[in-house]
Amino acid sequence: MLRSRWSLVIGLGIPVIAIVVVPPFIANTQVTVFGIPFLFFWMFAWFPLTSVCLGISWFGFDRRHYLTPDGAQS
Amino acid sequence: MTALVFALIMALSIGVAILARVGVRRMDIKQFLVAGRSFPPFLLFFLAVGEVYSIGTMLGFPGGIYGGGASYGLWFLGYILLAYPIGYFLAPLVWRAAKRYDALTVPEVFGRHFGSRKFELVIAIGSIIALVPWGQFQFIGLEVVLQGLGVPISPIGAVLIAASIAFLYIAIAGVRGSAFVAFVKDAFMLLGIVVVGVAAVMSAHGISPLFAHATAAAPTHVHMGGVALTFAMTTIVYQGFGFYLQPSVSPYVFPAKSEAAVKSSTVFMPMYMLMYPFAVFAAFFAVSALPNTKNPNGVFLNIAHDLLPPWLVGVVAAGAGLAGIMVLASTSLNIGAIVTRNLVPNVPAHSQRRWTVLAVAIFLVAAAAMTTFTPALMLTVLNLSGYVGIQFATGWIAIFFARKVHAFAAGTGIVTGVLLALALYATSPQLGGINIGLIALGVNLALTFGLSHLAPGRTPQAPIATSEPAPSVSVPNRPDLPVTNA
Repeated sequence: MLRSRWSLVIGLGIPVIAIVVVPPFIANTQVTVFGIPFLFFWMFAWFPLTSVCLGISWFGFDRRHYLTPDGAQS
Repeated sequence: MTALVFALIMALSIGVAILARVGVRRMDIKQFLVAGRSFPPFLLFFLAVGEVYSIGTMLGFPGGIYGGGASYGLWFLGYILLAYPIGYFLAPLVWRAAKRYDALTVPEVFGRHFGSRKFELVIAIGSIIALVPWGQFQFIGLEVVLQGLGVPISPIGAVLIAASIAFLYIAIAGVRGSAFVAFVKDAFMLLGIVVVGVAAVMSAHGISPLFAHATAAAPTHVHMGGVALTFAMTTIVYQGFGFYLQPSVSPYVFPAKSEAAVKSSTVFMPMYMLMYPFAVFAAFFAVSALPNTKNPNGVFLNIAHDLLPPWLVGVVAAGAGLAGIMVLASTSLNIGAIVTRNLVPNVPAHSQRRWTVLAVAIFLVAAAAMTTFTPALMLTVLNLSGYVGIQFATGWIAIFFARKVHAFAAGTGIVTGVLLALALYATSPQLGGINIGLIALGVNLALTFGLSHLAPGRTPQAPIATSEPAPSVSVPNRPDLPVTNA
């Protein structure tokens, strides 16, 4: 089912760490970036960064398995 | 002026729904419910984001931050964001299962995989229990929007207008109507959120002063810890993980034309969230600028009224209104299909579309009546839908990966999960902020796999994930291969 471990690490592992593991550690800091509390800045930053991770998984690893005939019958 | 602009944009949306019908020669039930599984990635993208970013984005989200502080913001942003990486891997399996079983509804996938009509019924009833609050969630928001237009309109009148427009989208073009209206809805919703967010930042003379004022007015609103943080994080895990597996979302994967379309459309969905910073600015602006708003759900529109000219308020309200009505339309279609195809046995195929439209009308009237008589805070209703719907996740996991889980075990797990979640919700015991749905899901999972292990039953079809992905139809000269049940 899974053809690439890297696809899973980049497409799922990294975003999960960013969204689920990191926030408790930055929830109470007084630091701001561009005036935005750091927690919110962090979440905002991960909107495009999550797309980048998924983009790497799709274009770098998974896409070829869905678009080429081989594998369909293996 | 506000009401006029609003009405014009609503009329435009109905025009677009009519456009969606053009060119479809035979509107059979498969066309009506899943568009004949023909959507390319961009249409799937708009249908899916159209469903995800409901009226809650414009009203419930700012209202939640305003009423409940930063932890609500973290929860809302976190669970949607987490849903995409999970969905990137799981949503194609949902599509593959629907394709393998030629299913047009979620209960059909469950019934056919586990070979059990009873299980199909359980899932059909569970889906409806989860979908009704989701529809009600939209109605609550629509009441706020329509009453904020400045025309004298009763709550009953407001929900009836919303229900009628939702019915029109569906009656005209089924799921195609939803997908096409989603374009209009997204355009106005994005515009509305950005305009209000920018107006809030300008009025506060910059982002730094905006948050500084909010911190000064209510320090606990900007930072958090303890129980609120635990609740936010456990809810992110629960709702983010189960997002694509709940009956209010999984059907929107079905109209895709291929697994590649499902996967590639998910890649760009997080970018769509770039509108949320503007909603966050608006919410924190309101914390200091409008400290005494009685109904938190109305706070976003209140800012619009205070800062924008009337015609622009109409545009903002239309964005919110379309978001609610479109999701309402899709939800009612979803319920109508389940009633016609799964609850009522043996409705002949050629009259299923007629019966679905009738069920849609009945649901809309019933939900409208319920909303008028039992109002509630929007986010509470949203949670309720999630507590029930995400319990289906164990069934999906079994369909994807398990060889030995049988209908009785999966059914017992899901039913127990739903009942436990509702019981915990009703009694609200002190659990240190841990999301009760997550606890129920744990029990559900243990029962599903434990019972299957202890009392092996009839083995269902081979798990979905062991079959190869169906290739994209975009490969030239190559018909879509059937997925084998090997």
